[in-house]
Amino acid sequence: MVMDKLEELRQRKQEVALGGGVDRIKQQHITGKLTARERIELLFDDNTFVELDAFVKHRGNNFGLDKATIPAEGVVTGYGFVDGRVVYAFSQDFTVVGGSLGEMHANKICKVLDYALKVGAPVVGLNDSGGARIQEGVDALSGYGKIFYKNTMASGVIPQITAIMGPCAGGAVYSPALNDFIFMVDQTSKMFITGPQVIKTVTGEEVTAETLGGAMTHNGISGVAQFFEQTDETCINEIKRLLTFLPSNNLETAPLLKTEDDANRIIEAFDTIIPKNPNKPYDIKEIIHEIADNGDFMEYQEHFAKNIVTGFIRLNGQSIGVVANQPKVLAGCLDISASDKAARFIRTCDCYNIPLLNLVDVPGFLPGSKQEYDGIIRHGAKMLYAYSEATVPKVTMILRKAYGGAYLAMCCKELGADMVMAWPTAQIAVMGASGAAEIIFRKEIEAAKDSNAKREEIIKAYEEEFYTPYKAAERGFVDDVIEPSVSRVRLIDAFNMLAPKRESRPGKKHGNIPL
Amino acid sequence: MKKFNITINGKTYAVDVEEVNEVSTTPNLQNIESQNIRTKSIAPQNATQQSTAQQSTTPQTNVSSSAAQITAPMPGTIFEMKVKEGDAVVTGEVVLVLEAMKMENEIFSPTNGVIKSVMVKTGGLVNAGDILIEIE
Repeated sequence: MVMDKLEELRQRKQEVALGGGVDRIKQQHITGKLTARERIELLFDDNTFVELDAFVKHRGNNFGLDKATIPAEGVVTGYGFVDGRVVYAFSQDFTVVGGSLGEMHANKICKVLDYALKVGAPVVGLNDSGGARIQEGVDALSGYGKIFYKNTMASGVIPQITAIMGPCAGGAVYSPALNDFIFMVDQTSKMFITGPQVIKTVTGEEVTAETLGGAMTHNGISGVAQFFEQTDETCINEIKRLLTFLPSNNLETAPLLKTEDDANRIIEAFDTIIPKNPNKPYDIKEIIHEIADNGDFMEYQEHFAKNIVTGFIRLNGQSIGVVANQPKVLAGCLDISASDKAARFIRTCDCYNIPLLNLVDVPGFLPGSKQEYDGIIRHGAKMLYAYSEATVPKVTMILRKAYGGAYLAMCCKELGADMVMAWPTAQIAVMGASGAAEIIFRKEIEAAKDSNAKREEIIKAYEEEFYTPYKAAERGFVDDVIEPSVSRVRLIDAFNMLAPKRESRPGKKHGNIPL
Repeated sequence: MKKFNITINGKTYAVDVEEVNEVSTTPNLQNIESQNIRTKSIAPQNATQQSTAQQSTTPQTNVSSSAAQITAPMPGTIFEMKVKEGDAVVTGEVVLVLEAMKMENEIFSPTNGVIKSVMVKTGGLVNAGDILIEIE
């Protein structure tokens, strides 16, 4: 009798584990995708995954749904260990009724979010779903609503990471959008509010699903996703890598990883890395890689708004968020997309206690009517807001240009930078020389016999006087001017010094960031 | 080749329509997708142009679908041309240097091909979105 009961349990679990059956699993593999359970297996440390709610069953009874068996309700949920830390996960099973989301499917996901919030563990969602289970009507719709609400409640408390590994359309896109990070897999993932068919019917525009909502579209054009991956395997490996930079929740700090890289490493190359001609670009990523422990830099939104570079590095083992202007792209200007990207990243770091390093070489905001019409004022303000409200240690290093409002937006002293260092090549000024000369000395230039020569002379004088870090240092806006080669040493020292930093903000319901 | 001005949601598009197969009927908007018709170039016009040019046949920049355009990413001055018409270029090659925002910005070719036309010259001023070079 006891054996019968055991046999029954094993039988039931086996059926659930097979998902949509051998044929559908084969089909999943043919399309270049792993199954929901294979993905879970890759994510978690060996034999640590504990499945929850394997026996949950839907309650739909319309359109023949009452006769349908839906193993595990089309979503595998549970918890386990990732590099020794507890992580919750759900993985939608496309082989089971297309991974469609019904009432109980949604309840399983909500349970994961509730439990993770209770113990302060990150949640990883692996999305591969055809959308709402239409047969369940408003119950399915309600399911999405509940998930959105719980995502929002958990936001800023536990890291929420989503990977899009198949279709994700309509209402389904908004749970990922409410998460902290979105990964997308090339060719197999698609995200859109309205698909190509609807667009064709309504506007006549013909567009493929890949062009409309593929991985590169959302990584490069829309900025919806932060990470672009080639395959399911690399995607899951990168999720695990990202987790190493994050704490489990907002009350902890990211794990300190021991490093072989010398904290006193001198970087001679930095003394000559800035071109003599200040109008020549260089690649800021070389500098980030050099500073980082073992050259390891996990870039956030690598393909979007490339004029600003964001991502995670470690300094002497400590996780650090980097925001850096990229002189190689759009001269390193701040524009709408760059402001949005940086502001979101700064806030992500601040809610998870990740200190910020700001590398400044910025000539200003991008001029143009398009930028003004699209609201650069509103978007640029997000950066000012995000930096000002952030209470994590903030260290700013000015490498070259730091002009006007854009200099302020890159976390100047006044926005709460705890430490501002400048290289001797820094030019901290209210604006560029030629512009300033035209305004301040317009009369002198006009009055001169040779106005061109006079203009050149004035520009040169202005450059010598103001294209240095010393004017700002005289006022204490810059704490120290340093030799570039000791940058890593000084940054590690500064972040160590700032580790116990405690800063409070006035009590309020929440701030009102310009959105 | 036929030209159409199509207004969708208040936006006017100038569309060149080329018949690929022999189609007996004149193409109309309702069955434009069901027929085997390839839309060749779609250039949005802004609303102010739309009112004055609704009926006019102002030619749009006609570019065959195999040509790639390089446009100015921001307003500035052409500092240096690196290519001329007829030159072969590869993806990532510098085609010109645009001085803007106190920086000599290298502009790269997005594709392999041959320079079909150069619309600018050294010292010329350009606005964001201006076509600089066409590559075939």
